[in-house]
Amino acid sequence: MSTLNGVAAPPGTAAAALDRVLDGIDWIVAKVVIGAMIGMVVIVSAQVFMRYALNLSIDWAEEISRLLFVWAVFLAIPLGIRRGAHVGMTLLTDVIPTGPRAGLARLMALLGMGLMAVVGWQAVILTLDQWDEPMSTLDVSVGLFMLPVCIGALHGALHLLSQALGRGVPPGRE
Amino acid sequence: ETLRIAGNFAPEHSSSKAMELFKAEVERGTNGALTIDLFPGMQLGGAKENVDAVRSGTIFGTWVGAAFVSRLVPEVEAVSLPFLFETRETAFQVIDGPVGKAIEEKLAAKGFTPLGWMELGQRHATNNIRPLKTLEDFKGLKLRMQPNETHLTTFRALGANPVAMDVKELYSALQQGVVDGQENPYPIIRASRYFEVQKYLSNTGHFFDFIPLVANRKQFDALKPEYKQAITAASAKAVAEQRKLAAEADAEALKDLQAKGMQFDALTPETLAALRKATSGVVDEVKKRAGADLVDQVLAAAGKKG
Amino acid sequence: MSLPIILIFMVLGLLGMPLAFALGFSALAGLSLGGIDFNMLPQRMMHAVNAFPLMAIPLFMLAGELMIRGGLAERLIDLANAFVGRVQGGLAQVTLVSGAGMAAVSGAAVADASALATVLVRQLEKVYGTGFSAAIVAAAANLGPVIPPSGAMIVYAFMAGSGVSVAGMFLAGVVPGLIYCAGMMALCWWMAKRRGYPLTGEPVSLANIAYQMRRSLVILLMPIVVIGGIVGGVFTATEGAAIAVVYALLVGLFVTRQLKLADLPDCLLKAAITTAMVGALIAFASAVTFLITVDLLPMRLTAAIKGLTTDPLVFNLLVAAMLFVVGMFLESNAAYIMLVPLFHPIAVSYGLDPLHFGFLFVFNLVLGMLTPPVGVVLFVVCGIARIPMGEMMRHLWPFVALGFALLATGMLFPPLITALPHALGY
Ligand code: NA
Ligand code: NA
Repeated sequence: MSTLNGVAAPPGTAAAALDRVLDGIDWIVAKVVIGAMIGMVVIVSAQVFMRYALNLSIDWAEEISRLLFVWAVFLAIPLGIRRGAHVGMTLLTDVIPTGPRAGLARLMALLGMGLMAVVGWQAVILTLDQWDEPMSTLDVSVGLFMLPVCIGALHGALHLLSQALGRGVPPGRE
Repeated sequence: ETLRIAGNFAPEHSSSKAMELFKAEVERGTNGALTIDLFPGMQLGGAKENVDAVRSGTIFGTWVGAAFVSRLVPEVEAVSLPFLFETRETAFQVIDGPVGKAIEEKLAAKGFTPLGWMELGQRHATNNIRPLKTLEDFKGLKLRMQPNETHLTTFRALGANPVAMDVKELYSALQQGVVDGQENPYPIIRASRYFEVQKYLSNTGHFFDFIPLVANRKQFDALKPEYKQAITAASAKAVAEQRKLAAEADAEALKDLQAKGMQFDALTPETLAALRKATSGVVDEVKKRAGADLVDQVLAAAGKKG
Repeated sequence: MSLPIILIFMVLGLLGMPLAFALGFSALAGLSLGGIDFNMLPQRMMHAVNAFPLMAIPLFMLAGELMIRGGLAERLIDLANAFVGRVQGGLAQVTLVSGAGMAAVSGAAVADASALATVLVRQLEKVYGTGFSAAIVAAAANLGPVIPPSGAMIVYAFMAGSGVSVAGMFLAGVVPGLIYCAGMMALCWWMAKRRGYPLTGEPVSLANIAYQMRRSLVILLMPIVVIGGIVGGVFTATEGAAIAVVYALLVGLFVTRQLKLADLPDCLLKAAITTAMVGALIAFASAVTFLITVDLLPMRLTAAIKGLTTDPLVFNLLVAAMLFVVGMFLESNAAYIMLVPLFHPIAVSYGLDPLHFGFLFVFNLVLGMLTPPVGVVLFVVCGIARIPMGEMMRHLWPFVALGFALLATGMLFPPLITALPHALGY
């Protein structure tokens, strides 16, 4: 039984199934994010060392470390949704009663899901459009920069769907 | 109807000024039926983003350094060979001729309508280590370059150590000595205030850069014929004006850079010949990407080879 | 279309939607109103994040995280104790000095707050009670983004464009940061004396100072290597952040030996998620910025402000007053991202020194992290110390007031801020 967002969903429900799927995706995505972070540190410090000690420069170091950064950020956005890391204002929501507050949170999650779905879908179209263009310094597709936006947005939409189904965490606190 | 055109050059740059003329001409030619909103100085994002935005139709057009379309349309590289054009007149002759037409067809195939070619100018190297007077002087210099294969290969062939670096970090990097130098046209060196952190300047003129003005093809084709005509006419006027302004700005910027304390060392014809010889291998590299026929055509038109 | 965009953002924000998504949603509305293709949104988001200088944010955060796990923070506190432990308000003074030490290697107040709170709050409480203890931790942690390196300054310089260098901003923070620390120590001394807090700590001994110096030498070298490397031209500010990570990693693994390789994934993920929070704000806000630029709002805003005053000092005061209010309600990263592109160009057109204006801007919003109702440092410290915000504020407000007094002083005497960066050529 999955315990996403700290609350266990009743077994056999769609919410429980979604939570299990999300647990799996989150696990993989976390590994990719960690890999991207390691890659950034290694490439940037290797570039400093090469340039300073050997007077050589890696042509692709700047572009590829940027690529890894874009991957780390967009893939970590949904993980942040799960942990309630994205800051929000609680001025109003703090003073309204628990019942309406939960309903409001679910509505906001639903709207957020719509936003993420639009972003994700548009990013898919852009990625395909740009696939024929190579990067500046390597002969790999520049579409790899847009790909994490697709993945992050669609993954984020799933998390917001889970919250809209009533499994939300309050925003703004970790 | 409002058309949005964005660029990454500062509002004072000759190309941005010429776009003001373009705007006035279009609005006059259509009796105000078309309005042009201009966004110079990276207001709507950097050069690469502008190109993407035009391609996907978020904005109508952009004026941008040719290097930013050369990965999408590698044929552009044929006119970006090292030490290709000795004078700006030759450059314009080539780009306004059959070679230009061939490149424009490739741009059209990728969804752009090319409206004209402005001048970014000859690129020249500056540095803090020593005056560049001979081929040997390039040896071991850490020069910041655009992340472009032709540029990087050219400077490796000269014996320098090209460094790819974000332009946002360049001023500080020059100031602190993370890199020894950089290369840009005179007006850009002045506008970016690199003269404050660089001692030596030479007229290396290693590349001549164009600024294509391009529009989204679908949006352009959807315009009424008389609007298209007004835009084409306005582009022609703006491009002619820009080429004049750019020549003036180039001469003026060089004078000003010296007045601001940079030491200028003009290269001798012998040195230029040596630089050209050292980088002759780059042509074969570019042929692989831009096509051998087109490159040969360009070389012939530029009077470099029969 | 600017007005509906701003209204939708404010309504959704008030209803509790995370600010990043509220920005994205209002951008979506703006795209519909302006008849612009929705594909602008992901395009803008990707390009906004696709920037080398922003990489420094997760890296400095990671360096701070590694310092905490590697036991470097504790050694720093021991060293501070050897120097100021016996002073009036001793343990509180130790907290402030440790805060300055942490600030010199880490880029964010939140990381410093959690480090100081975790290590010091229980000991502080025994002497001073919960309210004052939590307040002193929050005040000390807030030195994080003032003394370089600073995530806030990186975001500011990035949003301001090529006219403001990160290294220049870093140097602008050194003198005011040290003055703020010294001022808070004096305030702490006076409060401790008036309230009759008992003396703590062991008597000052040269032997202990020498011992603690030797133990933490390797940590004291870290800001010298990182900031020195940036100013000395070995690497850029962004690259310096990666060097800080490598340094903290090596010290944690081989010198203090408290860092385990098994800790690393968690540190990396934590830094990435915090950065993703900032990244989401930058991404969605840049779509809004695009729309209001296309709507020519910045031009009209500039004209309106210029019509209001021609005096740069009055302009500076207006901005400070606005930021004070903004800092109360808004998360500071969101504020930089939305407001710097609007106000930096205006400040330049008033002839203000970009580093002077930039530091005041950052310092104001950094103090905003200590002002209720929305203050991220307040949240973190209250969470760890488990006290209500009101109780903490009763003890914290003198430190915040001192900060604003320093802000006013810096506004009137620019050299306080700009002398050091100017002397070093920025
Ligand atoms: Na700091
Ligand atoms: Na606040």
